[in-house]
Amino acid sequence: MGVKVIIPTPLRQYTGKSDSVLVEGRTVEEVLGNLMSLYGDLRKHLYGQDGRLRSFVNIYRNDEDIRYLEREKTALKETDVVSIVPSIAGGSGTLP
Amino acid sequence: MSFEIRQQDVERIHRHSAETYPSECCGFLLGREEDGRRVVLDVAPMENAWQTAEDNPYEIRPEDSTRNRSLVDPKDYLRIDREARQKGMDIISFYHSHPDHPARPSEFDRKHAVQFLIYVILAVEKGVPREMTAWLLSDDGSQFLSEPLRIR
Repeated sequence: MGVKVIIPTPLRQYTGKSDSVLVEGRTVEEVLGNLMSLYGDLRKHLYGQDGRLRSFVNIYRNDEDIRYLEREKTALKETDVVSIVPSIAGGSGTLP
Repeated sequence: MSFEIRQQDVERIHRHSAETYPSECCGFLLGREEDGRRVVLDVAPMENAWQTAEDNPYEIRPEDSTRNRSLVDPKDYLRIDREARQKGMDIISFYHSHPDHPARPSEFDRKHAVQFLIYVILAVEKGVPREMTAWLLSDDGSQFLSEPLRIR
């Protein structure tokens, strides 16, 4: 068993098209680490060169953003679902 | 790749863009990828959370507002993604309007685009929806490639 991690469509090309993956781990950090051991190409999309989670990547434990929990130290149970959620934005140029 | 959308869904995006004018509208297109085709099956209009999201990780210049920026609150992404999956669909595209600007990706659009999602851009001129275009980020992220939109 393990914790279910939901992969958003933009990242599925790095998980062999899987939309969710079961990964062992008791914290978000462990689960993401084990996920990246399975799918190495994910690393640069989740973490910056400074080794920190990218600001445009949001991680949820069930319905809660881990920024408002204990970030990557957030504890996980096997019944929890971790979701990777990309920030999505757009916009036109400067105003006329 | 072919990207297919029904006329009725195009009209829903048109209505959304006219409702929010002069602010940008944004939302997701839900559907499936089948044999290299992406087929839109539903439209999920989203709130433009540029000014209301708890976290806005983007550079915000004093002149920026919902008139030239769109942001989906990650909480809304999570909710729509869940609903789509329950119906056997996926988020396959992000749409937003460019009020009084052409339907061409801005540098901001390109710089912050994610892979895979097709970016649909709708120009709105004085409140009236005009040209709609579709774009896919190149693999190296350096440019947007035009995607032919097939309206059924």
